[in-house]
Amino acid sequence: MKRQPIIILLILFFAIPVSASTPADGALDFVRTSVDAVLTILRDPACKEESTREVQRQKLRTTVETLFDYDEISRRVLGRERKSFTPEQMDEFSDLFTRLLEKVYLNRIQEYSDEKVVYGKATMLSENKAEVETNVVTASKQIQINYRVVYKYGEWRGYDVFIEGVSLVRNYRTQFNKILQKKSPEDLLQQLREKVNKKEAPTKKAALLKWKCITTGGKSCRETAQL
Amino acid sequence: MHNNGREVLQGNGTALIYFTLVFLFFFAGCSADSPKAFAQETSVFTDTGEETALQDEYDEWIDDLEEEESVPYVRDPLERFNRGIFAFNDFFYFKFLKPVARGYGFITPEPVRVRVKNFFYNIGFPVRFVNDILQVKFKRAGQGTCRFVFNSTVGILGFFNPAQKYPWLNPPPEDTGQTLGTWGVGNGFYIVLPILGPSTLRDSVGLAGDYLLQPVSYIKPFYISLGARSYEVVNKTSLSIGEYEDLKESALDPYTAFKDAYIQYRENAIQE
Repeated sequence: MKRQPIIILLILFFAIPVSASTPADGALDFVRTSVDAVLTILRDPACKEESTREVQRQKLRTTVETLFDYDEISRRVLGRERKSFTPEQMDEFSDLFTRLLEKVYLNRIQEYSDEKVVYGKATMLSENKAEVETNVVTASKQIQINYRVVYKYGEWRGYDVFIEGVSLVRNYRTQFNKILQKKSPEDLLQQLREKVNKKEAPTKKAALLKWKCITTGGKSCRETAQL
Repeated sequence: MHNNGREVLQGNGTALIYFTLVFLFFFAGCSADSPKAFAQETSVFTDTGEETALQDEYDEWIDDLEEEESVPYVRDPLERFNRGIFAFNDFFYFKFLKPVARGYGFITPEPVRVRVKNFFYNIGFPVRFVNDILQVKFKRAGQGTCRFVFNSTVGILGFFNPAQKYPWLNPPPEDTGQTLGTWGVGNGFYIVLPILGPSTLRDSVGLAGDYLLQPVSYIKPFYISLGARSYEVVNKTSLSIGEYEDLKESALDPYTAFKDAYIQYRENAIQE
């Protein structure tokens, strides 16, 4: 019977890792909070109208900025090649690449309708990195989206996203390395500038006006020019 | 005996429990704080003006990490040719497949199309079963068989997917290319197949294996079998319009983006 307190002590001792909030839980909480914040903005009925789209976009941009560390992503996306970049080029690259990601992905998530996000488990990859599994469930399919997050300067930040096992960072890195094999960092920056500043695909209204301009000419041609 | 035990708990045990609680908090604090401690240490270094040195060290560490990544490098000796096929496939998608899938999607409600997709997935059971066995994944072979039986009966010939609610009934699908991969066969080199899209030498051989394992391949006459496969593709495309466009739009070099995405996707499927 003397052993009983020791056994209790042992049980409590082994129960600690389970009961305490582990770093992995912190990572999961961080991703959940950030993604839920994005979903709240997307579900906000006030943002559903075409006129408030830009406001919604601005809100999304701020929220997504807390989720992802764009500087870290930019560094990783260049990999070894960043050594051939001057600090000024690096800054511009970081800025352009952030704008590219925002342009592509904010457009995409703004088309969000009724998808559900299911949070899976979080695993530590090293002492300060974790992977958080999530599933986006739509009417016709499930998409696995995993977030890689790192704990730096007292907070978690995302540094990569894996969509169906495909790393976003690695995918861009392969492309940039390919371009930099033959071209200079300045050429890559120029390509990025063009891509970021490219006008959005013409809307239905613009296409209709253009068609009217071709067939009838006159007033609709002036309107097309304004668009 | 019983009373004695309780006494220990109420008497001496009280101190012990306090002691344990202190212990507990100590460790709980430690485990939650460890990344924080790491970060604080880092910021101390930054403050003392050794930023560049630290940054370099950090960068090298990232480079090491990159090398640890398990995705293999796949050669592309046919790049010029592949880029030609890629351009053709792009043209084929926008000028033929997408308009047809759109038209079909317009006249067919989405729930119907999801059911057709379920049906085709369900009759692809032999491909998954044989490859589970060949990869010595007997548990998955069993789960896949349960899923097939359940969806073919309760799910009325596989049109419905009642198995969806049970995660253990949905093992990741295996195919012949993955089997070759787990056997240690390398990717070979990258190939873009006309209409079928990105592939590698190994996965092209795998596609031939999958063809032989697909019940649809054995429908006679030949043109009905081909028609069924084409219908499957159109149906599937109608449910994923926009995905190809999105990846293409987000890329700076779409050919390389699709190549890398394919190789990563396949590697992940083999690891699963």
